[in-house]
Amino acid sequence: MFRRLLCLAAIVGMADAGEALAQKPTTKDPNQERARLFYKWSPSHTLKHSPVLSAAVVNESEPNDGPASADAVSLGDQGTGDVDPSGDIDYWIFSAAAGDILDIDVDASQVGSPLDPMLELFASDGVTSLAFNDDYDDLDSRIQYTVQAAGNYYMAISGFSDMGGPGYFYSINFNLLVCDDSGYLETEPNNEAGSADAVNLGDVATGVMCATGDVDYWSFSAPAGTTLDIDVDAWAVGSSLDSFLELFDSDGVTSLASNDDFDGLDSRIQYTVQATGTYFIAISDLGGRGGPDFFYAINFRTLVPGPGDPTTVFASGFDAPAGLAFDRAGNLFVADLFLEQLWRVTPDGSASVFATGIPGPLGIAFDGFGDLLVAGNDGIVYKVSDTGVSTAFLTQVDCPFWIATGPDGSIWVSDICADRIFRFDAFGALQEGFDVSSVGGVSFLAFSPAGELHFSNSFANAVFKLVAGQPQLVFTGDQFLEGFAFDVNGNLYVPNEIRGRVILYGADGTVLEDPFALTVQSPVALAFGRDADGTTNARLFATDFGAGAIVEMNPAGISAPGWPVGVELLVVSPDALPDGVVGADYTALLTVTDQGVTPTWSVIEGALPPGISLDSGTGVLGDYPTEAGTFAFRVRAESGARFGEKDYSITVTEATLAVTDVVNAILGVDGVLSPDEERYLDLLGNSNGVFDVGDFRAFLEATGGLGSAARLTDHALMESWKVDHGLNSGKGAQ
Amino acid sequence: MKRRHWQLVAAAVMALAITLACGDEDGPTAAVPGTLVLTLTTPNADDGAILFSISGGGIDIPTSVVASNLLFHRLTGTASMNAVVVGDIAAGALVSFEVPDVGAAPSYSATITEVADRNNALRTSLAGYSLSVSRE
Repeated sequence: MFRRLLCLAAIVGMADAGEALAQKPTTKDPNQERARLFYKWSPSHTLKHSPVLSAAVVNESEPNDGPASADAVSLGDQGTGDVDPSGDIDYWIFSAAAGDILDIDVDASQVGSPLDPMLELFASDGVTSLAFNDDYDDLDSRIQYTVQAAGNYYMAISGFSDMGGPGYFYSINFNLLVCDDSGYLETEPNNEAGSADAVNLGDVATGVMCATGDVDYWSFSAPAGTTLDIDVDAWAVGSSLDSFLELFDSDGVTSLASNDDFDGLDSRIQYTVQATGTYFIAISDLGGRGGPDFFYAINFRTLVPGPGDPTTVFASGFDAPAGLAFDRAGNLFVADLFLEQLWRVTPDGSASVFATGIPGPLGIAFDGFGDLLVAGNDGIVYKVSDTGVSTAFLTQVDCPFWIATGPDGSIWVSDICADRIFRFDAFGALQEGFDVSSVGGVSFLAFSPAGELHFSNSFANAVFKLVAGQPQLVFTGDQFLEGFAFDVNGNLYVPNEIRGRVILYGADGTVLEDPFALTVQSPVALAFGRDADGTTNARLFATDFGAGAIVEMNPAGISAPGWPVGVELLVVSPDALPDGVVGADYTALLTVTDQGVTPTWSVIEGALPPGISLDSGTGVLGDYPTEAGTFAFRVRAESGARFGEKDYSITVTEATLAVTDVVNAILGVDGVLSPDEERYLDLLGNSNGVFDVGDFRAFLEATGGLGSAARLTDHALMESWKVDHGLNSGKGAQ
Repeated sequence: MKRRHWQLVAAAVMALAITLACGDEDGPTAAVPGTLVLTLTTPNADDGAILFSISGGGIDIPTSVVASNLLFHRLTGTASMNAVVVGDIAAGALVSFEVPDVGAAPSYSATITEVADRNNALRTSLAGYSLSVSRE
């Protein structure tokens, strides 16, 4: 799945996907991958082995540019010639019997010729192309082909891109391969289930892919519940075989599992059979190649189940389940990659589509406010409402893959294109990006009980933790360490999609149980369950990508509850605070929406407006501001282990006072200024707690009354100031 | 003849009476409207504002003696006024005001309420401050 996800990232044309993917494991188109799983083997012929040496050397005789003028050779001969002039094609004709295994091998570039040859085999009509090869031994060509019917065949040799000329020499060896299986346990023909060679569990089978298209079938019996471990050794012991292994059910047709590469190029299948019966293993070369050096051994082993076995299917009906996360009510949410759906699974296992329309949903997580976040392969992290409506939330990540919510409510997203981990605050503001390209990038994320972000690299063969912004190796392991989960003790449960198992690692990377669970086909991600009250429990679930199901590990084998994923932040209210006026009484009340929670309040970033205070016990913002300005700050509410934060901004303005009121006030008219206004004037002046003549002077300064430029104008105004006692007993007027 | 004599005597007596009545020492005098001046005595050289009140009848048209100072005033009764002067205040003539009879200058008085320096700080003590009233 991991490879498929990477490929999907490329398919959607993410900006840096191509460059980044070049550093990733080999990628395959998911459709091709699926097609390969259902590939049916075509029958081939009984094979012997070892080539036949050349019997004669035949030099070309121009013109030989077509079937009609082809130079004749016999199998075992060597033809020699030149591709000259440019665009020249030399035809050779030979006869072969049905079942012959041709090995037509050109030597040119490898022996110093400038020729980059191309070979094409034609049927007896000289027109029908049977096989073609450009490069096999570096630039030199080679065709291996099993003849279906006796007759004459034509071999055409030419230069790549019509190259040719004097000195473009070549030799072409018309070898005949015969199979000799005496050195191996296989007995040809064994190219289909009906002719499979029989082995027993515990045996080691050996064979060789003599020619192109060869496939060997092996049959064995296994009782229900047996976990098979079918392990190929070929590439690792010097064979040219790039093995592809497929397990078939008792009918010999139904594919149960397959694998290309497990140990390097060697294949391995681990699978738990559900019913007692005969099963079949087919092995072939991935590219359909063959030859005497394409030998192999297959170990037919069984595995002992782990403490997490047997697993049970909790929910099914998915297509390609990837990320999963539980909400605080115990409902499970699942990202279905190919159907592009989000599923909601109730505690009783009932699954229903929750949301659609998010392209390629991958990792999912709940943020600190209980909102579901989903990484789409369109470069967007979506937020999904509780009614299933999705909106773009984070757009700064090129290729968001996995999401983890930190203990402080921060949101962490892995970027598989940029090899970076991005940290956002709980509200979605980008805080920082961490370059982890030095350790092979990043894929899956999870927080440990110590609050440290752990991640697997893009090869998913090592787990790191981010310490002071730098990756620090925790342990290395098998490839495909995927969506892991921590228990409360810091142990890691790690799914291995390819090996079809869950492995339990200690906090230091020590393998505690391998397997922890085997009875799961291709687990991609794990999550501990949650009870209806939100408590994280000791039930462990996995998305089984191959089976399209959610499986639960045997709870009897789980020693400790899971470490809670993310955090449930207290929701701070109100959304905004009222603005203030210098000197004016200010009152606002902070609360949390959670019933029955009485948090302790504090300001953790920024600062309240000077003069405003926050009562840590009640959440009351009180007193009065003493300075004008805009003041941004973040409040934090804490109640036990829970907390919430919210950003606020309060704008404090100067009081707007009529000059007449201020003048009247200083001249003894009662009631023209409110206590807030008198306090404002005092703050403007000498802040001695009363409104006095010093404050009055300060007011004139602040309003320009004492300014040199304003004075002349104001002077006339001020001098004309006169309040007629009889007419202005109240607020007064000019 | 006798009658004329008494007329002359009466005229002489009347003239004497008039003379006595209009004399500087003992006779009634007319009110003379005019300007009085408040003069500040201060122990400081950096006064920036002064709030004071004036008592006396018929106070009108107060004016800052120093043009650069600002004066605000408010009648608080028929015989009282509150005023504030703001500026770079120095000792000496501060405010002038009109009165109906400058001869009654002694009946006017001024009381300083508050003084602030030029940094707007309120003087904690008014010792050494006074405002005196005099004719212009």
